[in-house]
Parts: sequence; structure tokens; C-alpha cells
Amino acid sequence: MASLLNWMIFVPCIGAVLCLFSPKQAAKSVALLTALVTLLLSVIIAVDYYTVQGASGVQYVTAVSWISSINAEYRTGVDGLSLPLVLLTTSLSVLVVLASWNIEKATGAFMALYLFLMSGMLGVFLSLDMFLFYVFFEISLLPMYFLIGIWGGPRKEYAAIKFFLYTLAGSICLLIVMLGLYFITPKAGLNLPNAGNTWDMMVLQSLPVRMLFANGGEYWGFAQAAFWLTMIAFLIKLPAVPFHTWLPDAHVEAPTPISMILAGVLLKMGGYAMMRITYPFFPAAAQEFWVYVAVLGVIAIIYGALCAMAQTDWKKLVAYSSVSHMGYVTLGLATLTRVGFDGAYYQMIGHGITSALMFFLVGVVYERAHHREINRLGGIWLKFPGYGGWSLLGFFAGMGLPGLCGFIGEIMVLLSAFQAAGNVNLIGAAGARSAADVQCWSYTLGVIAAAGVVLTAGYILWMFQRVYMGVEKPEYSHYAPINAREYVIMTALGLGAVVFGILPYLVFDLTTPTFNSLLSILGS
Amino acid sequence: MPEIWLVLGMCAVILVPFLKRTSVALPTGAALAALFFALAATTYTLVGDSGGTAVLGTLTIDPFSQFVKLIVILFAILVIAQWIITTRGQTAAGDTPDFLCLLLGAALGMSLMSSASNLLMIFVAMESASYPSYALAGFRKRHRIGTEGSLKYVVFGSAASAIMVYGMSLVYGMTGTLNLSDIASQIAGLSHTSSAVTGTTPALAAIGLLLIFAGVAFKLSAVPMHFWCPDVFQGAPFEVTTFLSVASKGAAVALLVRLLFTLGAASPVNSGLFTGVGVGVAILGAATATWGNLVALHQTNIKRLLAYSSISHAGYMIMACSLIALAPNTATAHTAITAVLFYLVVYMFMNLGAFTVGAAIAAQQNTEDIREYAGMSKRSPILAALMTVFLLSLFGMPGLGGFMGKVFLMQAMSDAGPAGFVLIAVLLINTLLSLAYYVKPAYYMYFTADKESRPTIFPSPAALLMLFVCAAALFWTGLLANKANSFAGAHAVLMQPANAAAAAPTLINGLPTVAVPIVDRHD
Repeated sequence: MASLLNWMIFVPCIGAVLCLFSPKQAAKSVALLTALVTLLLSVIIAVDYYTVQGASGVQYVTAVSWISSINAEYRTGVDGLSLPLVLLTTSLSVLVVLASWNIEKATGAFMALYLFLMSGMLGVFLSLDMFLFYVFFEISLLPMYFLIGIWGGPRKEYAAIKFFLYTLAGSICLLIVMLGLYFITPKAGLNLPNAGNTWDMMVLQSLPVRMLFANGGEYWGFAQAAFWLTMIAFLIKLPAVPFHTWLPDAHVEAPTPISMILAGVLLKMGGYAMMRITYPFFPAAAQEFWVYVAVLGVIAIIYGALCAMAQTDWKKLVAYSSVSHMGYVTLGLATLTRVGFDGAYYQMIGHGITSALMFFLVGVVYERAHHREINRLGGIWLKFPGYGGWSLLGFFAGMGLPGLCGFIGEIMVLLSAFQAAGNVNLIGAAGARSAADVQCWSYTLGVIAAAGVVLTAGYILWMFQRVYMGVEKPEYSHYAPINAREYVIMTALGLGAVVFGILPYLVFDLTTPTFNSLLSILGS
Repeated sequence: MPEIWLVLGMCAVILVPFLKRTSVALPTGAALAALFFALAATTYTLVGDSGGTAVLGTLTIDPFSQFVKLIVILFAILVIAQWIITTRGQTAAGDTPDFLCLLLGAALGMSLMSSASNLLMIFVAMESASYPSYALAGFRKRHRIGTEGSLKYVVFGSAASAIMVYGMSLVYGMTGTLNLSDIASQIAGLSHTSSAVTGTTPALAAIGLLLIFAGVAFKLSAVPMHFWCPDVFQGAPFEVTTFLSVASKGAAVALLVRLLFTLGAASPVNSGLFTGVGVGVAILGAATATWGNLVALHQTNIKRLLAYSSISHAGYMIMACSLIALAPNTATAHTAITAVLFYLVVYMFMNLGAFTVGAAIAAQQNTEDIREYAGMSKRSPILAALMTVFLLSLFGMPGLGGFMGKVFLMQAMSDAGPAGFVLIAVLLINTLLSLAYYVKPAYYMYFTADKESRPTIFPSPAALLMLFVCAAALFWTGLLANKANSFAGAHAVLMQPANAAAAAPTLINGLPTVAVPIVDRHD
């Protein structure tokens, strides 16, 4: 199984090389086949993880010494935190390849870059060594840069370089923390070879290391700085206000399939990394700064929703809705409660499905209308009734309608915001904050965040009204009908939205044991 | 002694035209043969013992010097290969022997620089590296910028040499010896005991050292002695620029390491003077890296861009060298020297690659302007992709050698306490800065359409082979850094100069090596 896991990372690489050297049509088939093989591998692993391993903890670990002088290892493995996101990545990838079927410009290179990106994303989720994680985190930037920069819209160069520079600035912050961790871990007195220097994430979140970073511990100052440095790195990726400005640009310029994967998986790398690195490494700092993080989350929810409401570009509206939805992830994590973490995680999975669907829905119309001005559209439903139905499902799932996948994450995060009032961890061991303070913050933030739900409904419904309702416009007459390939993609994502809206335990069954240990680290 | 082969090669190359006037193959073959013999001789001594001295104790042969020689000589071979496959057409057949002889001469000087452990030998080595370089820089005889660059190089170089000789004379006058380790122990004695007997002061020693370091800084093109570098790099033909950007800087870095190491071996812990030297070198490195990156932001000529990039890379290496003086222990010094050697290896491949792509494009399209690389991804996708790999490695993208090089530099820096963390911060900020100009050629190649529909560029198979080797080396050092790093680590060993005075003969060219207190003469 461990070897299957590693194959999963490198099969897309092999496919990418094949794509480079195959003609246009063949490249598409190779890419689709590669994506399907990777999906199959991930499903096999998931089934085995659930049935044989009982979904417990980190499994299928490969650990090979890689760069011995700095003790970097090639260490991969999967647990409940990574597995659902891996499944999301592999299944979305199949749909993304299908969605790119119309790409005619340098198809082989496009598919190759996409498959490299896939390798990078899977590598990020599966690596258990900080150094390896960093390498994959950076490597996944590069294909994205070219995918936006070459196949994008009119301002593609600007968007690509902005995306690259923003994320890179974050990576530098992460690198600083990594260096610090590397030199502090020997002080933990762990019985490790090689003078105790390590990048192993499981060791870095073990108790002796965390003791150094505890409130008042030997490296408390470092822990506070490191918490914020890693937070900045991942908040940029997530993205949270005020680091979000690269996202609308990147989305507007990126081709439809790339928008799908950008919103569907790449943003989740930020949330995942917070849960994998920031919170378990520096739980004391997370308790100390919970209010600031929560405020950032609430700002993202409200500000993102308000921005979305103001847009006249349809795709930009969906892009800002991503900012708003990712705010729930930040808020859920900030509360340090079980419900908050589960909710944040479910929000990532749910948003992975709905955002990909929403971007695809926008892309379907854009391909025919060649513009995305909401005010120039209208009456689409009458033109494409079948498409209209899936759109209703997709946008309502994005809105968080009960019974669809967007709802569960949102409601759990909102619950957790109120629950935080009773979370003793947030009050502080030394009573630094009074219980009343915490309660006040918790209720205030909860109420404001709940208002975000109304705003979300506002911009989605208003958009829906302007785009889909009304009478059919005369210029629609030459629009090509929706083809079977497009229906397949919409159906797959739409079904996903329904299934995960009704059966949340599909995710929680995989994550529960891992989250138990994660939350015990956080002191809940 | 690889140097002997280089001298023989120079002689052979010069004599060849007497046999056959306009042959290109003969002198090239002779030069390559000499270099290969030299390479073999270096490799043979690589596995040798911990070290020894040669030429009356003026040269120290140790694993470190042999490693640097290996890089210099290997690089000379690669540069000749680059010249053959890209720009040989622009060199007149009659000039070939001159070119090769100068190249070998420069390589000889650089090899000596890596071994020199005597002020006189340092001077001789640096001059014998510089004079051929001056001529090489102006090798495009009718090229205005080339001639200008060459002249600037000569003028700056002479001034730098004069400054260095003046510094050497001060140090010699003060210590009465030319041997580095003796000088080091005398200066070390100065810094912590009162020097009432000789009347010399740490200040005088500091000035002497400062002037010597200024001479080395010129070869390193360290700020503020860097002004020659962009002009020379732009004016010189591609192969010369490539050679100077790596070999010349590598040798100068080696000399800097040896100077600092020898001073450090003799200095007591926490010697004020020595720490001062370390801080000075660190500031020099930080300034060089930052200034190089800032100015590179505005460049549009690929050679100038890479010239400023090479200035900043020299800065990174100087920063690491400063650790030898700042570091609290010899283990850190070893880590730092290992990191520098590893960086040098990676730097060699990425610069060679980037310059070779530039040369291949210039050879067919006659342009050095990166704005004219527009649409290169369509006209020559392989060149565009390879150039991107080299630029990303120069920037420090994970997965490529340049990143590992920087990681090892940072690893060494973080051993040096707070000063090291300042250096890390400088390095990181500079890395981010440098991205802004390293993406520029890639930006033009991939994101801009070619409005003038320039022809497709077909690099020769040999050029492609060379580029692929460079790229493979970068992936190899980036993904599997172990081997190269342990190899560098095994050679980051300088001979302990403790007993150098005993080994050295009493007279070198009539100059006494025994300390003669100056005050005696005044009495």
C-alpha cells in the first residue's frame, strides 16, 4: 500500500512526460487515462484505509533518507486529514481533464503541466516531512503560473505573476519557520539520531517539542512569531482578507478548468497546511491569538460576500464567493473546538465540490457568449433548461442550502463560533483573558458571521435572477447546445453536492480518529 | 600538479600555428588534451592525503584547493565545449590559438589562486589570472563595448592590484614575513597582547588586511569593486563571460576562504580583529548580494542581467565565507566551506546553462536583448524550457540545485548565532528580490507573442546535449543532494597551517621569512 501511495504521486508525472511527446488528441486521452489511474489508486487506498486499517492515524508510511546532511527525508503517508482531500484532488482531476477537452492551444503542454500540478498537489497532501512538504508546496506553484500565464485571458501575465509572487512571499515566511524549527528541535531532548535535527512532522508535533513552544516555554517568543509566519503563508494560499487580492485576478484570467482546480484544491492546501502544521505545532500560540484569527475569518466572510455582491463580472463574483467561503475555514479553526475543526474541514471538501461546479457553470456560458457580464445575460434558463437545473443545484449548494454540501460546513462553523464562548482553552491557563471577554468575542463574531449567510444568499440569488431569469435574449440563438461531456461534468459534481449534503459521515468516518488526536494536541 | 599540464598546454597551443597556420582543430585538441591531463592530475590528487606544500611552501595543496582546481579546470573544458558548439564561428581561425592560450593562462592563475598561501604567490596568481582575462574580455576586437569593457577591466584591475600590493607591503613591513600562516599568528599575537615592542598596532594590521581584501573583492566583483563586471560581461564574447562568471569568482572565493581560514586558525577565540574581519566580510557579502539584485532588476541585456546575478551570487558566497570568521567553532567553518563548495558546483552548472542558451540564441538570432526572446516558447520550446530551468535554479526553486545550495548556506549561517540569522534574512530577502528579474526572460519567452515573426531557432545537438547535462546536474543536485554534498564536505578541508613556518624555507627570492621587528631598524 505504501508503494501505491508513492505511485499515486508519481503516476501523474509519468503521464505528464507522455503528454509532452504525444499529439493533441492522444495527449487528452493520456491525461484522462492518467487521471483515472490516479483516481483508482486513491480509491483503493481509501477503501483499504477505512476497512483494513480502521481509519486510524497515519498509515502507509514511506521513510527514506533523502538529504542526509540536513536530515531531510522522503517521508509520505496518509491519514484522515489528508485522505479526503486526496480523493477530492484525484476525482476533480478527472473532471478537470474532461473540462479541458476544448483546449486547442498547445494541448500536450497544457495536459502535461496540469498533470505536474496534480503531482505537486498530491505531494503536498501526502508528505509528512516539512522539507518535502515545502518542496511540493513550491513546485505546485510553477505549473499554475504557466497554466494561467499561457492559457489565460487578456491580463493573464499580470495575474500569473501576481499569483506567483504572493504565494512565494508566503513560502519565504514558511521557510523561516522551518529553519527555526530545525534548530530548536534538538533542544527538545528527543532520542533521535543525527543530533536530534528533524523535519518529521509527527515528531515536530509531539509533546516534548510542543513543550518548548508552550506559553511561557523556552521558545514561546519563537512560537508566537512562527505561528503568525506560517499563518501568513497559508492565509495567502487560502486566501484570507487582506491577502486575497491575487485570487480574483487569477480566477478571472485563468481558463475554466484551471479555475476549477484552483478553487477546488489549491486553496485547500492553505487550510490543510494550517491543520497539519500551524495548529498542531503551535497550539499555545493558537490559543493566545484565537481572537485575531477569528476576526480575520469573519472579515473574510463578510468582506468577501460584500465584494461578490458588487461584481458585474460573473466569474469574479464566484471568485469572491471563494474568499467568503474560505473565511469559514479560518473562523472554524480559530475556535479550537471539535465542531469548528470538523466544520472547517467539511467546508473545504464541500467548497471543493461547489466551487468547481460554479466555475464550470460560468465557463459553459462563457464559452458560448464570450463575455461574463452579468448584466448582459438573462433568460439563460429558457435557452438551456437542463443546464439551468444543474445551475440551480450548484449555486444553491454554494449558497449553503440545507441538504446540499455547502450547508454542513457552514452551520458547524457557526455553531463553533458560539461554542467558543465556553472553550476554557481560549480563556488562557493563567487567566490572561476573562471568561466574559471570551464569551463577548465569541458571540459577537458568531452573530456577524451568521449575517454572512444572509449576504451569501443575497449575492447568489441576485446573480441567479439576473443571469437565469427573465426572457431569452435574441443573440442566444446561435449558441451551441450543451453537449454530453458538459452534462457528465455537471452531473458528477451535482451528485457530489447532493451526496455530501446528505451523508456527511462519508467524510467524518475517515477523519474522526485523526481529528481525535489532533484535537487532543490542541487541548480540547 | 595540474598546473604543469596547463603550462605545457599553453606552450603547445602557442607552438601549433608554426606547424599549420590556420588550423582550429589542432590547437583546440591540444588545449583540451592539456586540460584533460590537468583534470586527471587533479582527480588523482583529490584522493590524496590531508595536504602538503609545494614551490618552496608558497602553495598549499590540500583537498580544498584540489576541489576548486577541479571546478576551474572542468569548467575550462566545458567553456571550450560551449565555444565550439555555439560561438566558434565568430572567432577568426587565426585567433584560435591566442584565445585558447589566454584561457589556459587564466585557468592556470585561478588554479594557483586556490592554493596560494604566500603573499607573493597570491599576487602572482591573481595577476596571472587577471592579465589573460583582460585580453579575453576584449577579444571581439572590433566590438566597441568589448574594447571599452576590456579597458575598464585593465584600469580597475591595475588599481585593485596596486591597492592590494600596498596592503601586502604594509603587512610585510609589519610582520617581516610573506607566509600567510606566520602573518596570521603574528597578527593574532597583536590583537590580544600589547604591541609596545614593535610599535605596530592592530589598526595598521587592519589597514593592511583591508587593502588585501580589497584586491580580492575586485576579483569577486564585490560591491563597491564591482563596476567592471557588467561592462566586461556585456562586451566579452559569451564563452569568456561564462568563464569569468564562474571560474574567476570561484578562484577568488577560494582565496577568500583560505585567507580567512588561515587567519582564523591562528587567532584566539573571540579575537577582536578577527571578528572585525568577519563582520566586514559579512557586510561586504550582504551589500554585494543586495546591490547586485537591485541593479539587475532594470537590465534587459541577458549578459548584463546574468552579470548582476553573478554579482549577487558572489555576495551569497561571501556571506557564507564570513562565517569562517564569525563562527564560534571549526565545525561551523567546515559546514560553511562545504556549503560554499556545493554552491560553487551548482552555480557552475546553472550559469553555464543560462549563458549557453543565451549564446545559442545570440548565435542564430544575433540578439542579447531579452525583450527579443518574445515567443521563444513557440520558436524553440526546448531552449525556452531549459532556460526556465536554469533561471529558476538561479532563483532557488525547490527541486533544483540552486535551492539546495541556498539551503546549505542557510544551514551554515544558522550555526553562527544572531549574526547568522541576520545573514539568513538578507539571503531570503534577496532571493525574493531576485525572482523579479529571473522571471523576466521566462516571461518574454512564454507570455509575449513574437510580433516580428522571427525564425525558429534550432540549437545544435551538441548544444542540446550540453544543456541537458547542465539541467540534469541541477535536478540531480536539487533532488538527490546527498552525494554532491558529501563530496563537497570531504573536500572542505584546508590544511591546518600550524606548522607551515617550520615547513617553509627561510628564503624566498631573497626575502627573509623570519620576523624582523621593524623597530630594530629605527634603533
